[in-house]
Amino acid sequence: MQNYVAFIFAFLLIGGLAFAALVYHIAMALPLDFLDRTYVFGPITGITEDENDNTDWVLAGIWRSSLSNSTETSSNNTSVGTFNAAIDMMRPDGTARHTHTLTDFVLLNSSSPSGTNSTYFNGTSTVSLANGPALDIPTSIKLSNDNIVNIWIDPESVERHFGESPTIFGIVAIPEFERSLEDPVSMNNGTQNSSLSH
Amino acid sequence: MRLSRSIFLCILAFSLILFPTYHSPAYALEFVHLTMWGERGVSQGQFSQASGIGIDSEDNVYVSDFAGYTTHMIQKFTPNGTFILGFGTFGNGPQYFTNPSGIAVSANDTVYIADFGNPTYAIKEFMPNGTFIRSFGSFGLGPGLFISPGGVGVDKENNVYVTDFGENTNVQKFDASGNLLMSIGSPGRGDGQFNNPSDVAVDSNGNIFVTDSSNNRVQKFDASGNFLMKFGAFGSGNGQFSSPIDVAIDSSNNVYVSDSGNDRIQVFDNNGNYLTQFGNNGAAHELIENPVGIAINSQGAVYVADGRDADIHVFYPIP
Repeated sequence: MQNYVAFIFAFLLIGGLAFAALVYHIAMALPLDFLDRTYVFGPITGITEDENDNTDWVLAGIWRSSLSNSTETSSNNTSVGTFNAAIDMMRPDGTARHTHTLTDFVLLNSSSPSGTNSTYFNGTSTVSLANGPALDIPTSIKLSNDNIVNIWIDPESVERHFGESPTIFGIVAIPEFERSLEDPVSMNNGTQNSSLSH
Repeated sequence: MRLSRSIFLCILAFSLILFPTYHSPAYALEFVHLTMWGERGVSQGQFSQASGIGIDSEDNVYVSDFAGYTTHMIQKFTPNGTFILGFGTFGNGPQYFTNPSGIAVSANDTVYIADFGNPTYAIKEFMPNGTFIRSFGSFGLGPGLFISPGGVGVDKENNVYVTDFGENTNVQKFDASGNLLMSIGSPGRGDGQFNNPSDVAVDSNGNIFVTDSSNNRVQKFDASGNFLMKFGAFGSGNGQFSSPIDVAIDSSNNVYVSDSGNDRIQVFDNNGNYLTQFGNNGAAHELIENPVGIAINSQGAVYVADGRDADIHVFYPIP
């Protein structure tokens, strides 16, 4: 009789643990395949300066890329990875607002110098200008620490529209997974104490 | 004798607890793979990353391309997949897209599209011919604001519901003019809380269903946003989920969920009882991988965006 009771007890214990494991497993996997950093995007920021080091133009906008996992360079004028940007420009006083797009990026080569946590993607792109699209503009995209991109557009090819030494940055926006659970109280307070307010 | 009876009752109760989890009921609905179209590319009828699906009153199909080429990021097809038109251009502005995601079409055929990558212009509104109407919702934390607008749903009054996959972690309801009406949910794992809500749909009674993706469940709310129930947990069994993404509701108020990590569509009744699944059996070309967008037309045909193969699968219910 004691063996019988022990068997039943063991059966219930093992079964119960298995059931609990099944029901209460917490998924930590990223929910979307297309958000596994294959595709990255975010806002653009930057300024250009005149010869007196005064701010000439304020740059803003958005960018998106699938270059981060791309190692294949161009063949028949197409790239596996893509990079697009829409660059808004305006004077510091808010006048002369206009937008340029950088599209059709063709990756020619990429490199990741050791010890830099940066990857350079060199290629050409189409840049929209006032007189129409400028084709095959030498373009370099530098991704650093998976957090920021530096967009370089050959000044001579675009009539120095973005300045002599353009510095255009793109911030990598990262959709939050699980992180939102870390501080639910502050999230309920809107902008107070949130990560965006820092 | 009393001890044996107690043990028997204990085993019986235990079995009843396990029964709903492991039991496989006979399917109440069955679906057959009808057709498919699309492939990876940048031409008409091709996609870089098929994402959301919406269907209008004439059963035309709208598909968003999350990483689409710089033009025709939204494509419109006939019910059998013939390309009609493309609209939506890459850029930064109310009418432009960065990463279009969820789509919903209202009863008057207004097309609402969430832009995951550009919350400054979170939801774009278009006419059926691709003419831009307006955008609403902006970047930030708080009412009417978004970090990563993901899924879109509409109710029969043409109110618009949008999930914020990002840090707002909620569902926001707007009227047809884009005015905020209410928000539902907060970050967490409790009832009425979300962890990466990815899509929303509304049944004919006004009940709101939300795919709570990282919590691997679906939650149901009444029309006022009060929590009613939840169903699903992590796993691959019937009624379990691995990263559910989109949700759609048929004319009988059954609930269809794209169970992304399990490569299938699961169907539930309006109370969350498991009914059937499809998309994970049949010939190789009929299988869906990483299903994302899902929509149902007036005939009950189910359109699924395959996130892996960048194509659209159409399943039809067997009468």
